[in-house]
Amino acid sequence: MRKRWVAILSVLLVATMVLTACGGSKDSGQSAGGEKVTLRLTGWASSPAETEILNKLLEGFHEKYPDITVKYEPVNADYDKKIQADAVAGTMADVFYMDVLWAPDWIDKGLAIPLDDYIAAEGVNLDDFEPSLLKGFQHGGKTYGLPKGYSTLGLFYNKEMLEAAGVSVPTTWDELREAARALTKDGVMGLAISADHARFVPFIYMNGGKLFNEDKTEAYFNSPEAVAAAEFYVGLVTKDKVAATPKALGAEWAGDALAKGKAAMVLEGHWMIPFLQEAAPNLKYGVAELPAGPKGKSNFVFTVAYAVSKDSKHPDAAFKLVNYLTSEEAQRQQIRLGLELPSRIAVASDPFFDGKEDRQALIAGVKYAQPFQYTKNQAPYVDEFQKALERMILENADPKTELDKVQAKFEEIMKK
Amino acid sequence: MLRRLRSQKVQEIVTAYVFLVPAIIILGTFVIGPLIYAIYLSFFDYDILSPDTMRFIGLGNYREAFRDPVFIRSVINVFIYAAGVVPTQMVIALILALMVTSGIKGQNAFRVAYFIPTVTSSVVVCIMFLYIYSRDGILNHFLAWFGIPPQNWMENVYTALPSIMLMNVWSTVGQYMVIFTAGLNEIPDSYYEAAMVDGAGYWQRLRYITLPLLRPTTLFVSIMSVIGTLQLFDQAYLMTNGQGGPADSTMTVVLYIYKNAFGGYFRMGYASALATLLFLVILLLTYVQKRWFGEEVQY
Amino acid sequence: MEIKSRPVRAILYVLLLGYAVITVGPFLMSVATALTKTEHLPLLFSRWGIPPEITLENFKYILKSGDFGRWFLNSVIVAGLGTLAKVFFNSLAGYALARIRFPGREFMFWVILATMMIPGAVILIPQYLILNRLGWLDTYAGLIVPFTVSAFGIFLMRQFFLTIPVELEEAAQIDGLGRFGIFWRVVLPLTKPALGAQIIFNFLGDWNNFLWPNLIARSREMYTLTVGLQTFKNEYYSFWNQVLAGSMFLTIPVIIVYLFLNRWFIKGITITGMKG
Repeated sequence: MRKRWVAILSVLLVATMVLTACGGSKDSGQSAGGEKVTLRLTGWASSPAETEILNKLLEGFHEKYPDITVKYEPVNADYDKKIQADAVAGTMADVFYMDVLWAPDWIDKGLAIPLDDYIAAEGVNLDDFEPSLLKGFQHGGKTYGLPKGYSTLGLFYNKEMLEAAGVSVPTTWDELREAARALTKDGVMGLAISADHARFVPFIYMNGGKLFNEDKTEAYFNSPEAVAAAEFYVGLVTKDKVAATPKALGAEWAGDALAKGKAAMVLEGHWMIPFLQEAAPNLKYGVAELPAGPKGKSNFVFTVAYAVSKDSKHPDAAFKLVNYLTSEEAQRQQIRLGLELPSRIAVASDPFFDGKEDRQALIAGVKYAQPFQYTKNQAPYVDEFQKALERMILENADPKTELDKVQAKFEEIMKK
Repeated sequence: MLRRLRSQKVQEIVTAYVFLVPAIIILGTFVIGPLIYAIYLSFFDYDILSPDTMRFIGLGNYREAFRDPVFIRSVINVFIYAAGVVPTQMVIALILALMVTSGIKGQNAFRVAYFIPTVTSSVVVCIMFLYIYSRDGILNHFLAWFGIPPQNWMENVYTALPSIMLMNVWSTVGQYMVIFTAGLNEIPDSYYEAAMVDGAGYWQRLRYITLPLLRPTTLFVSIMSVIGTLQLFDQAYLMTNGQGGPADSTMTVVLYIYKNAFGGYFRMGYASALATLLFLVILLLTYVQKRWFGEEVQY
Repeated sequence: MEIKSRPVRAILYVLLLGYAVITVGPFLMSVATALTKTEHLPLLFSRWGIPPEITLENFKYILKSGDFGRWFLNSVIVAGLGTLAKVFFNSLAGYALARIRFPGREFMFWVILATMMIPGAVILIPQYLILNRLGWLDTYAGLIVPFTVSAFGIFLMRQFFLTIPVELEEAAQIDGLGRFGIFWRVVLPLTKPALGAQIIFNFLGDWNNFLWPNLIARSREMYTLTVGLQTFKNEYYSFWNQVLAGSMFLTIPVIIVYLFLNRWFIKGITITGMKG
């Protein structure tokens, strides 16, 4: 009996060691001679269908370059933390998704390498990409990633509710407020808006304000234009009472509120289209450009690039993969999945988009959009920005005081 | 003969250290070493992603901590939390223990039922309570019977922290009840019998016998519980997606340390300074506890 | 203290049952929700939690979409190996401190007592940096090894060994057993209750641990159940019935073990006090 215990225990201890040893070896493929190369690709997948099409594209890539094998390693939650942990450990995948929000930090800290030499070698024409997307991945005259796709924000609305209330689709701030007022009835809120900087910032631009100067050394979070924009945005909830946060409507996020019929309008992006197909297949909805402010239109563009990591031992092969995945033919396949809009200008006029008004409205926005991006070391003051919006919307705090705090935090960070 | 004795002694010493080797290596590498390393790092500005920019800044991180409104808020939050949770859980646990040990039938079944929350993972507890607290959740449904309008418990700066506190009371009462039950069972029946001969009623016996005898256990357990709540992380992280929101209303010290180190701020040095401060506070509490109870307290 | 009065007893039962509803209710609600179809969710509470139609869809969805099997296995490996190693090493060290005379014993004991006061949260950052140096981030070693010894466990085991009469060991020594033989064959079997309680509590602690695996496990296939479940909750568009179905993978094994061994749990918690 006791002997058996000793045996079990020693087996377990040995097993620990073996597992330890296995876990430790996480190298990418062999490189010697430069003949057979294995690349690791990491990113996130928003649905199983996305993984499927990516795998299909990777097969195509392998056919074209038989010497290069690609191992796809998707990460879903906490992607940025995973990338940073890998960067510290020196085990980053060769090719990785770089979100435009994180690009300044990741470029500054050297996670992504400049691609200019490879771009020249492969003969990629950067003018084929939507310039407002590419700008997010360029720094000091160098390009660090090629955008794979994008989405802007749009006004998603419940067609039947608008018809029933006799309201036409709003195109200005005043119309937005009045439409929301008319739609707020019978347990439905006119508009669901989040206390989220990713939705609010375009309103600053629509009001003639901006976040930064050209070289991003100064910020204007508390400019009169920004404060007035906050008063309008927050006022929809606190003063006019024609909007509410999704949670207050019993929804997990704004899109969910529209799907559940608890809000008539929301400000969301392209990700709504597959979501509504699944969550509310019978909902009749429309998409319009964001309503214009006193100083015109603006928008936020959310985009992700393929970048080559500092840890890659085969940057030239890695760039071939980047180039293949952002190529025109790859994008023409990907748009048919309907997950994002194409970063190449030529693909935006693909027949797939003919007559698809919802997508057209989102494509229209990219022409005047700002990238969803701040500066390097943004996390502390963007957190402050986020909290300021929460305090304004949930606690009715004064916009000027709150935005002053954001500005102060920005200056504190930049001084360091 | 003598040589044999000596070699036996040497062998004993060797055996002792062989027995202690795993403990020395693991505790040295993963507990004691890290503590020294944390204190060391707290004097540096250290961005984990660009290690070459590491520089010594003396007490700079500590000075910043005392001016950092988020850190101050997190300290206030954990003290509110401890002040609310610890007495509540103690009182409920004591009442339950008294009821369970009052000679009723099914004592064990009740103990089993009350202890279930304690064995459940914080991840599961938080998921269940997010569901309970959601707008269409059972809590609002229940309150509607009394005409109370639905609340957004986790999206309101005034209710988010109390909601997490309530959840914590729910999940820990069972544990304290069991400890109290053990304490109650150790009080000899003869004490009560003697008191009854003197004509003491229930409340008098409770006041003059039970509570004084339970007092050392209670105070000891309370301080341990306060030390535990100062390190609150899981629940604040899980209930707010790692944000401590809305607007820092549920930010805890450890969550803020985590955010500074691993949440995109890249500030290992500053986070280490905050951790060192937390350590000092806990050390002080431990010292107070030792002074009060000496060595006589058994674990 | 006994209460004899019948009406008071009746009230006690009502109160005790009431509190049992509070502790068990959320679990029953979760099970009911996990068995409900998504479209029936809004109806659930007005029907006293009884689903209009019982479905296993959510569990099927979980098995299909998540990597719950892998995460379950990881949790078993991490908690299982970690617990066995911990109980073994703690006992070894505790035994040396309790029974063997050697120079430096007082010092070692003092150091271990002092180590007990170091809160886990304080040393998180250096632990992470050290694991990174060792190349153990995102590995089983990183998940298990740092917790294979606990100062508190050593202290507890030492206290238990001190309560065992020395005579037994002396007899064994005369029979020619070495130190390890004495420890393994004579002393350990006598501390079964303490060992049992330690195994249960350490396993439970490791099984439910979230903070550490959330930091160390970075790739999907290294997640433990706690991290995996939290991830599952936050990705795609998940509904309460699916998330709660997923949480059953974490809860049900523990509750089954608990129902069978609840006496040990209760004994364990009175022995070990606070630490779980």
